[in-house]
Amino acid sequence: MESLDLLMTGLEALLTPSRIGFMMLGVILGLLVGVLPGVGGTTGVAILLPVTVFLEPISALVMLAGIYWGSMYGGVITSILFAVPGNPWSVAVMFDGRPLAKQGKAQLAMSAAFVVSFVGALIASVLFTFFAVPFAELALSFGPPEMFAVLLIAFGTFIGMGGDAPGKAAIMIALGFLLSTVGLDVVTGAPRLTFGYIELLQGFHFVPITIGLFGIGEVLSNAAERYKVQIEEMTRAAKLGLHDVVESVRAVVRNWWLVISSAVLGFVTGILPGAGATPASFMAYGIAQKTSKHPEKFGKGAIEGVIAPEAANNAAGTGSILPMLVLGIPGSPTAAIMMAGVFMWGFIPGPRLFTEQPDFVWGFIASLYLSNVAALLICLTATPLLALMLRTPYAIMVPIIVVLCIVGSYAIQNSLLDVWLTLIFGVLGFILRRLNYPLAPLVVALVLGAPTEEALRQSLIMSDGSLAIFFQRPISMPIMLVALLLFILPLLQMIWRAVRARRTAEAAGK
Amino acid sequence: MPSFWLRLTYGTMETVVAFVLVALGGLIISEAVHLGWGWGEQGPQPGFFPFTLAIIMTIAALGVLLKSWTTPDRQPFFEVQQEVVDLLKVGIPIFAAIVLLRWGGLYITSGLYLAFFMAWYGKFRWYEAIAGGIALPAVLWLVLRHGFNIAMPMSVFYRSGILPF
Repeated sequence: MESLDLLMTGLEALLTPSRIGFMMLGVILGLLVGVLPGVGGTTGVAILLPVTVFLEPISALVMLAGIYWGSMYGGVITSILFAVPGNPWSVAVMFDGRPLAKQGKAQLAMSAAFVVSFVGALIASVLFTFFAVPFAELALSFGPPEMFAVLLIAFGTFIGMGGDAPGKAAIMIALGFLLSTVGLDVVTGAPRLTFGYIELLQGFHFVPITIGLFGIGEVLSNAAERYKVQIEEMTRAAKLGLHDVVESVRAVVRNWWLVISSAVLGFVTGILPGAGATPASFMAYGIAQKTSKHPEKFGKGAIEGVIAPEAANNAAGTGSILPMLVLGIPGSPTAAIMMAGVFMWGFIPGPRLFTEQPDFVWGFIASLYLSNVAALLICLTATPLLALMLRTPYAIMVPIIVVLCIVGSYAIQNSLLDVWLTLIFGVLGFILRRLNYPLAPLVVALVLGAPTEEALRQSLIMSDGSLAIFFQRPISMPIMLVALLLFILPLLQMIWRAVRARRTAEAAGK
Repeated sequence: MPSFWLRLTYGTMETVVAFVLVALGGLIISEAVHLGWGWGEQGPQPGFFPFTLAIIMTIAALGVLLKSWTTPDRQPFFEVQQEVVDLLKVGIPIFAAIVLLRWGGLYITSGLYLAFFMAWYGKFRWYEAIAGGIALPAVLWLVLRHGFNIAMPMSVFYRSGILPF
């Protein structure tokens, strides 16, 4: 196949010591960047872009890409160990990763996350290699209505998350949405829900809120429960060695369908301009929970809850580069920065790049495979050391986590206000958790709220106020139907169950 | 004071939280009406979503409020006094550290915070606490300032040029 030949030439171009060296450097830097909370892959790529001016193009691109892939792996670490999400797309893995860590299975969770990240990225790379052009054309025909339909699916997958307290889940979703509407209105430019405070004009960024709810909230919950159990004791169960790695590979293989479907979902989401790894991770988590045989285990340490979002977000990260290279349309903020780099090195992204600079493009695609292998190996060998971190004495751990939270919140917008926001939501998170309010729907609504509303209102402007636009366009219609089905399904399930209960009661009565 | 905390029940907390949510919802609804809560010619007006969402939230919160008012959960919110003590011992230093950020900057504050917490809560020896209080800011400094050059809050000493951090 032609693609395979081109891939081989790309590999050849890549396999020089200096280029491999820069790729590895990028991966390691990316891991570090990913571990730092609040500093996501995007910031890391942006900061190191000027450095790459001095490098030759292929080295520069694979180094930047290495940073991006590395950060996708690194974000997992602080999410699972400290409940402090290192990146926006590492929030979903925290929901089940952190409980696993508390059960002494931190190594298992991290190994599984790394392995599945690798598999997800690999699947996406294969799709990238062979289907670059058709997928990119698909991305071109995506407009606001399609975007809205996709985001609606993301919400639909979370509808079932109410569990035993659907009323409280509804409150949390509504609250998350409301928080996302604070600030300047997207369409009219008028300030919304700011109540006259200038500080609120910038709106609530979800990172400080999430760090507060989960990071500080976790610290406070642990503090309150210390009289019951010593946290250090619980983590002594983390054994060092290959045992957990083998176990994690087994878990991934057992859930092979989930891995593949999450990866494909992530890849497609990543290609869409505007959507990226973050919505992909939430969607994968929601779908995994819905299709699982034991949905009630999610949130308490189900390994599927770690596998699904990690496969999806790595695949999405890989996918987001695709429209950038092929069409010159960046699929995510990080891709946009890398595109700036491509221009800087003297190339013009687009269809002609493939034909005029095959070494560059296919060298990059080859580096997709290699940097993921490198990242996986580095991470797996580092996992025991990372799990050891959990054994640090409590009095040292708490200030370090708190300082990490402060760094993470401040880094977003250079605003001390965000740090206060983190503290406030930390206290709120503690109280809400105790009162059985589910926090995950709040975060999802907060993250996805603004893009969803934006897409809806843009679509309605396009159609002059008619809702029919979603069903008139060939791509958005089937997606909308799936989304609506996801909303109605729980309702039907409840009715079905009620009917069955009636029937069994009647049969028993006879 | 301690007995107040111990007499706090889940029911009371539920009621308080639900009440706050209802009040918040009401506030947002009034603001949303201001902004225009209907469906204009070009789709929803700015206040449409805040309005509908606040309605949903308020109704659900009223439901929770009603439930906790009529069948209050009498279990105590804090089971033992130790809970409250530990919470305050951990929480108040966090609060103090964040207040201090503005004047101490990240590096000085984090050093002081770690040293204090190690000595006071963890009962580490004074020289161990000092070591930690120097190590943490040093690592942060290397990574954030020299490594990635990410801006962090700086101390008053920095702003007046006395110290580089």
